[in-house]
Amino acid sequence: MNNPRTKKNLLYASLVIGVILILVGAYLSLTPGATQSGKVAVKVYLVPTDAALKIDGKAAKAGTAYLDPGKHTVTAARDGFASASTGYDFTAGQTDAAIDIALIPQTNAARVYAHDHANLYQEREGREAARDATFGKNFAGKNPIVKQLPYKNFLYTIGYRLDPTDPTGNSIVIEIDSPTGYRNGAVEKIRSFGFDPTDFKIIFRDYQDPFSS
Amino acid sequence: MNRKTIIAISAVAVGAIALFAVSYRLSLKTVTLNITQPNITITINRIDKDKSTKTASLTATGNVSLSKGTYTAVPAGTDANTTPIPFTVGDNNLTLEIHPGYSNAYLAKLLSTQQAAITAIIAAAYPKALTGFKRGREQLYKDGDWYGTTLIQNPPHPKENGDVYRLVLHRENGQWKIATPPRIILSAKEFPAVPIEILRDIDQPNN
Repeated sequence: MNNPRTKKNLLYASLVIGVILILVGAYLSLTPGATQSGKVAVKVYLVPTDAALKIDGKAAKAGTAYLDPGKHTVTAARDGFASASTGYDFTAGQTDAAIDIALIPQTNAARVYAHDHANLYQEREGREAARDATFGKNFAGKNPIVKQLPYKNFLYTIGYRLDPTDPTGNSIVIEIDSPTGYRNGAVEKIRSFGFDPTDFKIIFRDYQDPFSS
Repeated sequence: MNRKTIIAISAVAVGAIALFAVSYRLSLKTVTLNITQPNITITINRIDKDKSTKTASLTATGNVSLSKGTYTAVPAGTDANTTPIPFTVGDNNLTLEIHPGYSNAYLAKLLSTQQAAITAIIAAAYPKALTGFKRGREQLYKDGDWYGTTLIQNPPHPKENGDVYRLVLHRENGQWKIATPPRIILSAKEFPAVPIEILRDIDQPNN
């Protein structure tokens, strides 16, 4: 141990271990999944930036919040602005989770603030447009038939709407508007698009069940 | 070549063969065929590019050892549905439920013995099915315990068309019961209790 060479080697080894520990610590602190296991990383945007924000009744701030998957209630308030209370539902593993609130000015002072910070409101609109575009793309990916709809000819119209029984908003109900005698033709049109009609919920507009007494 | 060299080469050769045999045996996966239909034989064929090779045959539930690849289980037996059942052996052991049901010819014969009971059930549930519609295609499925039919609506006027409806019944404990109401299309999402292959078949456009 008293050998100077051994001491030097020990010093180098300690240095290397120290650097490795620092790198591992930095990696863990920058990797949400590693430090916030089971939580959803939610980006929080708030306009005005100094509004009072609460998530499930607890004070929060803009940045990144790590929340349990499931439903959350978010409130935001500031003098001169209309308060907001919004429900969110985040799923485990969700990578695009965001809380994005821009309060609407109601007093003159608040309008002056909004005017002076128009860029914040514009950025928020941009984020919303991007989210809408992503949702539209994902929705069409899950329901590729929507690319073919609405379809209309002189005998029937085939459209779609969201399935009210699916809370995720990702499922559709096919809606056919056709007189008696042409409904099967409309169903076969769906088959001709390359989809099996058996896989869809299909409803008929102005339909009267001919079997009911 | 001296004796020691010959012994050494032989030992290496025997070792290599043993190693090959062990690795081949370890690569085989156990496929359990759970045959739940009586009086059938299952022949397993390996499917390679252009040829099919008979690999095994079973007359009752049992295990076979198969290497990775694509296979078909072909049922045979009096009145059995002989449609080949494809399956793939991958990295894990596999269990297959084998219940091919009956042949279409046998099901057609069976249908004639069930039509009166089925018609009575439909008439009781939907009296208008007998007066405002004519019966189209009829088919028993599986073990003869599922029935599907089309009901062709009489047009309100001779120059107009009617719609075609589909209806499925299921026999439980010897009694036929309505499994779906008559619908223009039977959705798998609305009727998950009905095997989807039955819904897909009865939803076909041929009446």
